[in-house]
This record gives sequence, C-alpha cells and structure tokens, in this order.
Amino acid sequence: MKKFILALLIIMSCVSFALAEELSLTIDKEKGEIIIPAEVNGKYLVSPTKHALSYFKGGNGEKSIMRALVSEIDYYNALVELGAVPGDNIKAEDMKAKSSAEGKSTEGSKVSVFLTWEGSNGEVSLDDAIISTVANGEVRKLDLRFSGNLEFASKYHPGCFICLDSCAAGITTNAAWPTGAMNNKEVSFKGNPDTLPPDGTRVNVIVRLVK
Amino acid sequence: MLACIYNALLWSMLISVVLSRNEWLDMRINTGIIFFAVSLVLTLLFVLTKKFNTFKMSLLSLVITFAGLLYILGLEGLLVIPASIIREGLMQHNLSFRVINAALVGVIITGFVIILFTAKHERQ
Repeated sequence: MKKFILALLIIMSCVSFALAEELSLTIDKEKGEIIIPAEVNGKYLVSPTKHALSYFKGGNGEKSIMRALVSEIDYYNALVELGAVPGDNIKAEDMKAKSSAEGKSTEGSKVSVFLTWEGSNGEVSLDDAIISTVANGEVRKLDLRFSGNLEFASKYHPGCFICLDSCAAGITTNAAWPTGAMNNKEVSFKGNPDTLPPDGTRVNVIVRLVK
Repeated sequence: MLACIYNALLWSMLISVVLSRNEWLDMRINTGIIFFAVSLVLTLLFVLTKKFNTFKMSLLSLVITFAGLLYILGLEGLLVIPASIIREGLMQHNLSFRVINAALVGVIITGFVIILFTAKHERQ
C-alpha cells in the first residue's frame, strides 16, 4: 500500500510537471524586443544564485530568480530573428577560472532587460531587480550580451536564459563579471525583495537589443 | 516507527538546509531530492538503531533542529527555504510557500501530538 501511494505521488508529480503551463514568447521586430513570460521564484529573494532567468523545465529551472515559461532555444532563435549576433567565445574550460583575473568576459550583441508585472509602476530594469554583493565593494552595472551557447544549451538543457556572470551555458550572460569571479567569491547575486513582486507572481521579461 | 520517521524528517530538513547554504552545491543539486533521500536513509538508520523511537528524542530533535534552522536561516529564511526545498523535490513549482508551510506545520504538530499520546499510552 505504501509503495503504491509513493508510486502514485511520483507519477502525479511527473505528469503535472510535464503538463505544466507553457506559453510562447512575443517578438516585436519594430521595437527590437522580445517579451518572455516568467514567474518569480521567492527562494532567490533570500538566497544567492548566478541565474536571473531559466526555463522551468531546464536543469536550472528551480535555481533562478525567475523561471521562464518558454524554452531557451526559442529565446535564442528570437534573438537571431531580431538580428543579434552571438558571442560564442566562452567555453566550458573557461568556467574553471579561479578568479576574474584569469577569467574571460562574454562577447556578443548587447541587450538590456526590463520587467513588468500586474501592479508594477512601469518597467523595472533588471539592474534594479538584482542585488549584487561585491567583495571589494565595487558594484558593476549589468552588461548583458547575446552569448549564444546554443550547442551547450541543446546538448545539456540547463535552461539558462540570463546568467549573472559570463557563462558557457546561458543564452545571454553578463560581460561585467568574467568567468571565475563567482568561483573566487568576488561577487554574489540575489533577487531584490524590495523591487520584485512576491514568489509565484507572473512577470513579463522584456529583452531589448541595444543598437 | 512513527517517531523514527518524524525524527528523520526533522534531521534531514536541517541537513538539506545546511547543504543548500553552500551556493556551489545549491546551484548543482536538487536539494529537495536530497531531503527525501536523506529522510529515507535516516528512517532506516533510526529504525535499526532504535535510539530515536522515543518521545524524549523526538522532543530533543524538534528543539535542536528548529533552533538550528532559525539560527542558520533567520525568521525570513525559515518561511522560505524549507518550503522551497520541498517544492523543488516534488517538482511542483506552482505550489505556494504558504501551502507548503501550512502542511509542514501540520505534520510537525500532528506528528508530535501522536508521539506524545503514544508514549503516554505505552507508559500506562
């Protein structure tokens, strides 16, 4: 009986996960922007993470400040459709850098990211939605780039849309912090609970190509 | 048996929270799966050793693990992190922290009351 209940619970979890709501992203070529439906994960308003936005079915879906309700591959294709050029200069071995001095910064077309939600007072920039704690006190603004990494994303399915440091896995990652910075604890990030809405709130993540 | 499961759940939550405080580890493992796996292992261990099958040990476990969680997480974190661990393990991202916390409090109180009454009944 106990085994049956356990098996039933596992099956129910898997089925509901598989059937969970999946939406589509919106591409506005005139404005040069992509709108991604997502939800806030309250865990990372109190805990540090390196992920700002990840696909909820990806490996890092629950490791991110916001979980995207669309696939990161669709996001990659949407950026290409807007004319963005991927950097593709960070490799897995670059992630082993022991400090930012040894690390590498991502390249690729520059993007800016804003958030809106029901009740938000207009657009909130991702910079304002993130708290960076920097060891030497020198806080840097986000410098988000279209890093590319399609091959890694397709092969390992981490689900990463936006990483907060330069990364070999994310479609867009942060050139302001080279690889190795987080390994060396030079910087850590978490969501800003004073700016972001509570856990579970649906948000629109607006990604604009900077021309 | 119930006391063993109860104590195993309490200690595995403390262990999972300690592990999840390590950012490197938290980014790489499903802490919810760790919670359920450690619960299973500790239950077996407690059943075999028969040392956690008492009301006294349950009370001690409850006090120590609660104090430990409060010390590590603070009140704000206590309302978020254990619930997020359960949610991740169940792979139910739509469950709210409020619902999980209500279930956790229910299990903790009900379990404790049953263990207390069982201990009293056995003494009589």
